[in-house]
Amino acid sequence: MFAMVKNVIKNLFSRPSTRLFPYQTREFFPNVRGSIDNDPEVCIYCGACQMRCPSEAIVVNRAEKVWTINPYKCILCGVCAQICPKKSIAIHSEYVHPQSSKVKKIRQKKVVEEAQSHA
Amino acid sequence: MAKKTILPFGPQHPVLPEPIQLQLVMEDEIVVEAIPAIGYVHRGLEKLTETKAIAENIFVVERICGICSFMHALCYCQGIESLMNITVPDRSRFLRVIWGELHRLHSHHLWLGLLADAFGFESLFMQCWRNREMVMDIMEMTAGSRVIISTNALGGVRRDIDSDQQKFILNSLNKLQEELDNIKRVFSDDYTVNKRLVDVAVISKEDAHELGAVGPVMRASGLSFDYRTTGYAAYNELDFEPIVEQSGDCYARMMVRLRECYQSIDIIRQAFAKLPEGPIASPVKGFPSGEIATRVEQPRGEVLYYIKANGTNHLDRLRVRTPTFANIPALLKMVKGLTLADIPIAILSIDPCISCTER
Repeated sequence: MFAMVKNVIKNLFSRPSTRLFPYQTREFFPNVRGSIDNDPEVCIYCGACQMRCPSEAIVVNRAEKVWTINPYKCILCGVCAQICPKKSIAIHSEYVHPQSSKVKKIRQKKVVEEAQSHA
Repeated sequence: MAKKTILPFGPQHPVLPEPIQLQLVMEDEIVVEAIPAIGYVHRGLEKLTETKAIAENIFVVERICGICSFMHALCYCQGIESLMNITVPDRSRFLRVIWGELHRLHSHHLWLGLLADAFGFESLFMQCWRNREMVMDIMEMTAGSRVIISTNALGGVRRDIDSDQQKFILNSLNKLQEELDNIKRVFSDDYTVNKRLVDVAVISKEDAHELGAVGPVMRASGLSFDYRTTGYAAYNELDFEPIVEQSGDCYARMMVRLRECYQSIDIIRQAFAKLPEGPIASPVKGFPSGEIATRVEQPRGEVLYYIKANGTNHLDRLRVRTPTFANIPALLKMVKGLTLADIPIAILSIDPCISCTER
């Protein structure tokens, strides 16, 4: 009984255990695998990432110098960033936000754009 | 004698997290027989491993089970490494132990929470899962991902744990141990918890042995066997004893897992104390050939991998026997004579992982 009273008093004057989410967001640890991006100017479009990607999410067009990743296939294992000879593929800690359509991430030499292609 | 009724229990049930159906043959409220039906979440991952390259298969086998993903990858890597006669660096053997025990910690916390939820103790469920978050934070910091951490590779590990991270981990584990002391008091002494767990779904030592039970189910019945004692990875250099309880009921199975949480914390501390310096991965060249069976102790028990390789970059066959599959015969034995109200707790007490079982 006394233990419960102690708990009640403690809970009355302590801060909430949970985060007040929209106002207070959680900091990611460094090196968290959240999303993958490629620098189109550094990339040499060798296709090594396409060969080694276990989920076949990356498609490289060497002739037109276009690098495409399907974030809905990608399992964020980080193999592409590990084996990239030019280290142009980077892993960011921010997760991909929910989207209303399945947008592929396309990186093209000189022209950088987020093209819409419905998979 | 009462008339027999067959009651389909599952595959969807509010308490059970995964789809397993037991057709319960009932006499009034008492179960006289149970007929299992699995196959609701079969994904064909064993077949998929035959089409992927050998190094890519690590990511496939990790997805057999979300909760003990690291141990699946560990078992697979150990099998391929022994086929190719690769010696793994000492540091990576210890890092594998550390991540393996972190996985055991978070799996047992998840299960303790689910058990508390099954007997209707919501606040205890939340306490367990709040403590689990500390382990998940460690995983996110060291591996970059919370559950499927993908740190295993052929020949070693992919990430290192530096000294700052070690300090953070050891501090978190100290905090976790304090919190564990609090919830242990409730789990072991609380009147309601004891009422729901003591003498429920008892399985004797002889039955557990005969039906091939593994892991905590076997150890709760008084059989002292833990595959870690055979000394794979770096377990041969660490000091620990299998945790054994004698009574074989749900309470004993719960106590085995609760005490294994303390054991895991102790093993991680020992591993950090003995962590040698050096490289974290050996170079891997060529492809394996031949066949091998490897085992690893998972949170739920012993997992068996059979690997058949043919000297190319693709495997001929990969066969996985997961601990839940081995525990289902013991489950069918233990539900006989129970009342219907105890069935969810009895099923949960073997820590069923149906996605593992069906692959």
